[in-house]
Amino acid sequence: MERLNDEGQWIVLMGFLVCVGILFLSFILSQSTLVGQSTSEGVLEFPKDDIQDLRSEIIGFSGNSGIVDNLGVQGNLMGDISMLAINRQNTVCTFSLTRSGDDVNMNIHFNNGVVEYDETSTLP
Amino acid sequence: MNDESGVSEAIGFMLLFMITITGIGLVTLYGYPMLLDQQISTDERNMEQLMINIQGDIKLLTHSNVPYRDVSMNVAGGSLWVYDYSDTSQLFTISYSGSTDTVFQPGEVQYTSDGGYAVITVENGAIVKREQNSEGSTMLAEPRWFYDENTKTFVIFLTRFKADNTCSLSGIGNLPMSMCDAPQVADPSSPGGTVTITYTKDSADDYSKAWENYFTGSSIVDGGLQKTGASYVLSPVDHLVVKTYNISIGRM
Repeated sequence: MERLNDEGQWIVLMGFLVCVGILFLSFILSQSTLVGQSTSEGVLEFPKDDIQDLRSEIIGFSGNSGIVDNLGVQGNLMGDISMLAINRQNTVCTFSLTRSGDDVNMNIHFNNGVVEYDETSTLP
Repeated sequence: MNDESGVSEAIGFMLLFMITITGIGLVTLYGYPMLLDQQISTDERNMEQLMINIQGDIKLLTHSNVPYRDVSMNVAGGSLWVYDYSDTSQLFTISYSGSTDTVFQPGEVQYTSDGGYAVITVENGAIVKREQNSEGSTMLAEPRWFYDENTKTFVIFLTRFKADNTCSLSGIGNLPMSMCDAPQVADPSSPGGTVTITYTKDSADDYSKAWENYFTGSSIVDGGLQKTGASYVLSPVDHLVVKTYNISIGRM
């Protein structure tokens, strides 16, 4: 009788490996909704643009001596900015500009419940 | 020479038959109920994920100024209900330095499991869960209230569901949500003021434990709000912001 050809045994082994692979993928898939959700929220919820918009406005004010030296005007401006921030971006935001010598010290405080950002810098 | 004296066809058949019947019995008595339980808990877990999707869309409507969202969903093992805010008897009462009371009814999007006991609800920006016919509740996802330490500002977001009438869904469908009205913003300020929040439960649909854990936990402010009787107190609050969003839910 001819000897049984058993060189195809690796097909069975491969089938087993593919099964293990599919099982592993199914575990990943069952977690994906939650993980994808929180990751994409993490990216979406970092308010990079909001902070940059606010910074650029305030840096714009720092060149205006009518705003930096007049605390009344600065207070009104801050009232408007924080009103806009809370209404449009749900953000608590305050800033202050004070002159020290030739430079202007800028303080920004930004908090939207998820991200809190504080900046102190000296502008020429 | 073969000796087959011990082999009987009848006994062999009976043995095999008994093994088969025992197998079927085991699967029917233990395996099938276990599979059903598994199915129920899978359905409930899927609904928790769906509720997180709904909450994500509500965040888009409220915080990102998107006017309209549609959530496609497959509600399995139970049904999803939408209750207008006027139909829910739970209340959030917010008072600031003894005055300016805000009395708020949230409305609900609620999943009730048929086979299991879970009730999962989206209300006021949070996802809360309880068991039918038993006390206690937990919060699966929190709303985004916050207290800013620098300016002593307490920001409260209230989310209200408006539906023309109570509606329910099971199976495949979608949940159309829109926010066409601008949110109402109240921002009283009183330096060194005190904010008192009271949650009035609906005894048939009680989430007081979930809200207690949220208020007294450290997600709003480190150390949480102080529990005084049935109220939660935060002080000092120089500035209080209460934003009320109205989300309209169309027919499912």
